[in-house]
Amino acid sequence: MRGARAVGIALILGLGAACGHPRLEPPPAAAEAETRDARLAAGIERALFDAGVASWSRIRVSANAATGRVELRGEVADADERDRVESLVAARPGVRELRTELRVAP
Amino acid sequence: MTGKRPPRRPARKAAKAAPRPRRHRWVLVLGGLLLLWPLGRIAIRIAAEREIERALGFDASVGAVDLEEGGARVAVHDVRLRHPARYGPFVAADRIEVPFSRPVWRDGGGTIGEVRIEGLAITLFPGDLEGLRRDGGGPTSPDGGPSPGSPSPAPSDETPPPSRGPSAILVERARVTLVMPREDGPALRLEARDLSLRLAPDGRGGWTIARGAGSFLGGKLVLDGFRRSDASWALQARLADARLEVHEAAAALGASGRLNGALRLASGGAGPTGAGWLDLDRGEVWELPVLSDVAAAAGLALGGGELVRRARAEFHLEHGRLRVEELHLRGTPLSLWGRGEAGLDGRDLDLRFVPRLVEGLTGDLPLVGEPTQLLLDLVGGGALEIRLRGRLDDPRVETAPLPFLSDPVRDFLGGEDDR
Repeated sequence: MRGARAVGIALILGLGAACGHPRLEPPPAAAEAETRDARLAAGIERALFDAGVASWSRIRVSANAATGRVELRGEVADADERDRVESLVAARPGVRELRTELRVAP
Repeated sequence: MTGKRPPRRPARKAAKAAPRPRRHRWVLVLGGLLLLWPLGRIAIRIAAEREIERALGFDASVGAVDLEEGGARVAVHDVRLRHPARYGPFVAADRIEVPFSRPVWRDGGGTIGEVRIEGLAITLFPGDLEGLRRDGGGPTSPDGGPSPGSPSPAPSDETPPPSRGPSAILVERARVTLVMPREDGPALRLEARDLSLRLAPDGRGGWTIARGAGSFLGGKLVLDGFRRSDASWALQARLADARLEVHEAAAALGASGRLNGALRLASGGAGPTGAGWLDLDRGEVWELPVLSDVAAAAGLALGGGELVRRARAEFHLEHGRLRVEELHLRGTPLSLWGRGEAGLDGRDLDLRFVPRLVEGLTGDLPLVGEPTQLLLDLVGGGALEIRLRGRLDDPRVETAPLPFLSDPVRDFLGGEDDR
C-alpha cells in the first residue's frame, strides 16, 4: 500500500530529524578543530553575558578558531547594543575577522 | 386425480431473477465502504508501524489515523517508539500531521509539505546515543541518501529516486527529558518544555534547526543547529534567567539562584565535542557535597552551614570526557577554584581544587578537635590542593601541597574573586 508507505516514510523523517542521530566518526583532527571552534564561540557568548549584553542569548555565534573568523547572527535590542556587541567580540583574543548579520528587534 | 404440482415459491424465484432496484446496489456499495474504510485505516496504521520499526530499529505503535482533505492530509495520533532493550517510551508524539500534494493512495501522495509534530516527547538516559550508534539504524536522509551508521550502499548506475522528504518539519510543544539515575536516591530529571522549532532542508541533503525556543527551569532556552547529509551535526543551546529553585530536587534542598549558560555540541570522534559555560548568581546552595568534603577534611564542623553564593564553570567536551577549564565556587566560609575532568556519566572523576577561607570568618569557625594542618594552611593562606577522585556522587578527597602557583590561583588566593 503506497499510501501507508508514504505515511511511514514521513513519520520516520519527522521523528528521525527531530531526534537527531549520532554520526559516522570524523578524523580526530576534525574533532579537535570542532572543539577549538566551540571553545572560541562559547568564550564569546560568556563575554557578552559578563558584559551585561541583555540580548546575549538571542545572538548566535559561529567561530572558526583556525582562521579567527567569527560570525554573529540574531537579534539585538537597538543599534547601540549592536555596536557594543561588535566591539566586544572584535576585542576577544583569537578573533581576527568579524562578520555580523545582527538585526535590531522590531 | 393427477395434476401438476404448482412450482414451489414461484414468487421468490421471480424475485431473484428480477433486477434489483438501484438503491439496493448503493446500500451494498456503502455497506462495503463502511466495512473497508476502518480496515484500510488499520492497514495504514500497521504498515506505518512496520515502516518505522524497519527503518529505526524501534518497536513502534501508532494510534488513530485520520485522513483529511480527501486523503491529502494524514494525521497520526499517539505515536510511540520504544527501544527493545528499554522499559520506557523513548520517543512519543501526540499528533503528527503530514500534508501531501494529492491523496495518499494516488502515487504515494506525491510530494510532502510541512510536517507538523505536536507534543513530541523524547526521554534520554546517559549512553542512549551510544546505544543508537551500536544499533546502527537511523532515519533516511531527506534526499533519499543512506542512513547514518549504516554501511555505504554499493555503487549503482540507477538514477536516484526523486526527493520524498517533507518541505519542512514544525515541532510544537515538545519536551526533552534527560534522566540521570543515581545510586543513592531517585533519578535526577532535567526537562526542557514547550520547545518549538522548525527543521528545514538545507538543499544539500541536510537539515537546519531554526527558531528553536523553549523553557528550562523557568528560563528561556534558545536552540539552533544543523544536521548535514554526511550525518555530522551541531546543536547550540543558550539558557537565560533560569531559576534553580524551579527544579524540585533543588527546591527540596532549599537551593535557589539565577542560572545562565550556554552549551555547544557537535558530532565528534570518540564522542560529541563541544564547549559551554554555566553561571549561578544570587545563589543559595547549601551543603554542596564538594564543600562538605573539603570542610570535613579540614576538621571544620560546619553542620551544613556552608553556602555557595556564586558558581561559575567553563568546560569543554573532548574524547568523550568533560574537561573543566575553570570551576569557581564563591561561598561562605569556603571558596574553591579548580579544574579537572570527568567522564560524562560522572565517573572517573579527577578534579583539583584550591580552597580558601573567606576572610573575617576564620576566628568564628567551629572546629572538631585539634585544628588540622589543612585548616591551619587554609587560615594562613597556604597553598593547598584538594583532589577529588572517583565518582561525582561519592568522591574520594585527597589533600596535597600545591606544586606551583599559576596566575589564576594566585589571584584566587589573593581574594581577587571577591571583587
